[in-house]
Amino acid sequence: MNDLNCLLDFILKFSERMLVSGANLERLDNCVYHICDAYGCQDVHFFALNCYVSLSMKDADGNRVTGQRCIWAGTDTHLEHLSHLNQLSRQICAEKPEPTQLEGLLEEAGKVRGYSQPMLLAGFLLAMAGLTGVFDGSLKDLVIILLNTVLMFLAGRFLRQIVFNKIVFNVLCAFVSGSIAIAAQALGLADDLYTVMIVNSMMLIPGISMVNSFRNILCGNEINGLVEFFKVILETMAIVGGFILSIYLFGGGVA
Amino acid sequence: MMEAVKLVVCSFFSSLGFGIVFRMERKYLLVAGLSGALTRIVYLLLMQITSEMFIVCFLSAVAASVFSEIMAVRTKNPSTVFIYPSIVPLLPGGTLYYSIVGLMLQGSALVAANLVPCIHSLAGLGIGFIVISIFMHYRRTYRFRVRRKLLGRFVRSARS
Repeated sequence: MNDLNCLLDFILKFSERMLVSGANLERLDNCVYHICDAYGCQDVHFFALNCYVSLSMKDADGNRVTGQRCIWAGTDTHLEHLSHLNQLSRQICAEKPEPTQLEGLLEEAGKVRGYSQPMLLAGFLLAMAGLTGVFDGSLKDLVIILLNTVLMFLAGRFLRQIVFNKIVFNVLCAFVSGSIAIAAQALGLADDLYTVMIVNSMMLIPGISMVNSFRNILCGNEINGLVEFFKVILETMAIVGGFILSIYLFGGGVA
Repeated sequence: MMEAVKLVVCSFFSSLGFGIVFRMERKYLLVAGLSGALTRIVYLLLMQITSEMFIVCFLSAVAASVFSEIMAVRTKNPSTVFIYPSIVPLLPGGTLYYSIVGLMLQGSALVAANLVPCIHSLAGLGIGFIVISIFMHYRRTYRFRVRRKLLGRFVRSARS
């Protein structure tokens, strides 16, 4: 594989990892154009959606390469990894290592300390406890919310192995969470059913995608922005659908 | 006053928690919590002046975004790293939930009461974050183009 092909291959893999880690498209554009510029590539055409990247460029001798990559993994926000990848792009622009070494550098950047599963669960519990306070929930509500959080976290780990569709995943999680909230209220273990449902839905609502979709639209990435926006609406409807299904099946009133 | 302190403390912990959920670097977790608390303080102060949700959410988001951009420049990280946790306490979960419930069950009273405040909050938040990040985006793009132009001139003059 020659240098230009190595560079192309690296940029496509780098783009995939950036998008999966939660980078927005404007940041990715910026990184890719800087890297291409550092290696003296000309006539660079880069196009990215959250699920697809394509790059075409020429070297100084006029040889053109083109590549594309589909991203099936979906976004799994990992800010530490994103930070490492951003630092890698800065390092590459400053030091311009041999294109054959780039693959190894990318693997290095992927080695992050991360958090253990219990620590991630603790993060969810802390976040949900904070939001219970924001939504003025009682101590009883807090207990049920935390119980639901643990169950949704465990269900999430299990369901991710078999359910790849986020909409189906949201319906299932919201249904389980809603059913537990209704049972808790019927047993007198929760004060306000809707505080429990709303706080638990915050675990699933794609708020960041919503803000990113607006940002894409205003920054000139309209196609991705519109696709993301509709995805957000569908995912939110799936969450509410799951809750409504539990209310229809087990009672509890609508509002 | 106690209610306000409680809200700020809760926002701090929820942003800290989401910092872990989004797998932020450990050394920035405190910053994540502080950005959430700062956003809530600005929100509460603005609520004393106006009850217009669009204005309140817009200015709170601007404050959070400015803080995130400053931290991003200082730590040489993407601003996304600091913006994500600071958004969470401001998301209008309640009104969004009731709006969709109303839409799905044709509860027009529920929709009328919640959809407009929800849209105002979301638009305010979205535009507030976007105004600052678009400014930074165009600033970066402009600097990149100027640098490339200067470099091109330098190379041409060196060749000649």
